[in-house]
Amino acid sequence: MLLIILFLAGCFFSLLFAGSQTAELSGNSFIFWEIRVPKTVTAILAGSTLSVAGLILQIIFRNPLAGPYVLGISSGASLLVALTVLSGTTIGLFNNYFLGKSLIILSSVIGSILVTLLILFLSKKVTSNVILLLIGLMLSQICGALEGALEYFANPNDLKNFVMWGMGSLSNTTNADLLIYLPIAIVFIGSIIFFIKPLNAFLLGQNYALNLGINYSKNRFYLILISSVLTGITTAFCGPVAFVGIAVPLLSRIIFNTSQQKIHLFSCALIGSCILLFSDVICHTFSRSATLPVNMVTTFIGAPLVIYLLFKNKQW
Amino acid sequence: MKVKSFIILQVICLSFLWSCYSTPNSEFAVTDKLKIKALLSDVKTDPSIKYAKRFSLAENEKCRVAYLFGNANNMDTTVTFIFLKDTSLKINSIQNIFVFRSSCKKIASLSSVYTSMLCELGELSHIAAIDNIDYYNNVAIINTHKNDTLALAELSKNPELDVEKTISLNPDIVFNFGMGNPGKGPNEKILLAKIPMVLIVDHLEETPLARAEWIKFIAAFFGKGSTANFIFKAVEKNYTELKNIALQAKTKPSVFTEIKYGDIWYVPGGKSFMATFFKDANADYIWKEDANTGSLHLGFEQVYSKAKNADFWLNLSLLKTKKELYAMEKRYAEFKAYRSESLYNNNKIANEKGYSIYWETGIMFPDKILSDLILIFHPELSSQIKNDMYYYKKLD
Repeated sequence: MLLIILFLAGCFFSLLFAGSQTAELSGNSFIFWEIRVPKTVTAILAGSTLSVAGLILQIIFRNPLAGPYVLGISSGASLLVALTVLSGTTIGLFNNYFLGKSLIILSSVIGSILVTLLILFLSKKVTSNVILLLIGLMLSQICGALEGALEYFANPNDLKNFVMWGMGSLSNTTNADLLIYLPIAIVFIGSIIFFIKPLNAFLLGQNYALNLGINYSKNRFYLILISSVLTGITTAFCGPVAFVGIAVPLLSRIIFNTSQQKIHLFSCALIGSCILLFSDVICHTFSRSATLPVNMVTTFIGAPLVIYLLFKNKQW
Repeated sequence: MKVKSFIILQVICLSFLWSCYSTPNSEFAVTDKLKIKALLSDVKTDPSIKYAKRFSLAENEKCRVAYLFGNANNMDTTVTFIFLKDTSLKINSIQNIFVFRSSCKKIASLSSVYTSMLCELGELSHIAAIDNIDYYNNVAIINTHKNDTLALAELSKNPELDVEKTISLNPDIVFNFGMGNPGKGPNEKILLAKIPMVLIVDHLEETPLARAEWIKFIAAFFGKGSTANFIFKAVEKNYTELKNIALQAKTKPSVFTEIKYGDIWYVPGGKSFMATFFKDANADYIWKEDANTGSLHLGFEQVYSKAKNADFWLNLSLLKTKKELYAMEKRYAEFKAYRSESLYNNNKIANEKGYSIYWETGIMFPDKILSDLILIFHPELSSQIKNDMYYYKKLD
């Protein structure tokens, strides 16, 4: 109940206060409908997709430190988007709006899937959660370095857009973008309902899942696909958003002490949305004329939480 | 079975939702497109544009037209601006073609370069917003902002444009620096609000006179073509005269520029705007053989091996003294130009934040920059140049 109130409050503040001081909403419906509304909806979608993707990854890897950002999945998505954006403009791929957006989404999703599969492969070779986390961070660094190399040779025209995109932003989405983003997010988050039973079983390990008659590898593949699409689509529209995917499932487990993944799925979507809605409000609070990048706020929330958990559970 | 139904459900849902998606393309847009085609069928190109390659102007009895060739990678027309002389014509703007019925009275100028051009054209009173006051030395702009911050809004305090503030202001035109895609990010929302935005790409021009000629493009929005022609002609005349004076020099000193940022030393390419200045000032730019129009990204070693014996070192960021330069990197002392104190920077007049007036008016007045360069490289010719240096000064 409290979460729903927080969510509604977040929507209210984001719609009415997360913007420039001089924007008079009463006299300017364009600002409300074309800027604030898409931004608020984007915050809700980005928060819920990344949190749900993080929840899935934490269950699949049986690792509470897993998340799209820390495992380098967002960076993988980002790298492929960089490759598409920085090479695509040259051959005129982005002259068509729908084709351009579809290509960015597709490359982002493919980048996510590739890194997730690599992490999954490596996770079988290492037993320590912390080592896996470090491998994820290294993959993230490699993707970052390759991205840096691409930027080094890029045309300054594309580079500025790409650098701004890389900072993470909720405000660049338009209502036309939401026509793509919203259905994909809803359908893929909704589809997890089909996988509640496997998710509950995965939490207890592969053998337990197999004993329950669950096709482990098939379900795992579909869940990775869903989490990659959720991470990929959000990265395509908002850039890599830090720490939401790792912090929110952890918060959900602290708040709801249950092994029922149905509850965590719902609460993750809600908490993730709340965090990004309030992050957006905070971004505009310090200075009306200068907006902080959303990644800065989410990192301030997520990183201390991960450090706290690392200290609390020393056996990791 | 569950998995199959999951896939089928997803495909059905996504197909249904995307079927609702359609690109806005009304019959009005088609009619306007035909009207515009007819209107522009007999325009005559303005032959006075001699140097700039990224825009052109044209005119007929019913309208004036400015074409922008904005894509960095090719010279196609990316945006067309039509200024109707016959205001009774009922033609609306369509994608990438903006139609203006009257001259722009409320301007958002998001670069100090365009603001200076607007001031020179006598449009100061119509400037309603600028990018960031920190970049300005222009006294009129600073005073207007100081007296009433609402009368002259700042739209780019951030690296990104403040979209909400811009839309609230509702300017007739936004002149923005041509970096980035007009259809992406903040620019996309400005265009959605039906506010015409011009992404000026003067930085893609290769010669100083070509960049200065952009004043004619800006003037087209206010019907001030003759004023712009007058200003540019004077600049062109001075520049050509100075170039001829420089040719009389008996020496050709070597020169290099910039300092390194982190590990990278960005130097102007051999066919760049700055390289053209050095060539016209009869100096020997050490990367003159290079074919790039943009900048080269080099390491210290590459620059040192080529520039260690160069006679002059120019454009040293915001630095004012030799001591500051040495404090940044002790190895800078190994350059001959450092030892012989032939260090010149373009910040003779700079504001409190260190931003030089060179960046505001230098593009518009390349003759002044050339005059400074001749005074630096060929002091023996100073008797033929009546003025002192405008932008450059020796590092203290």
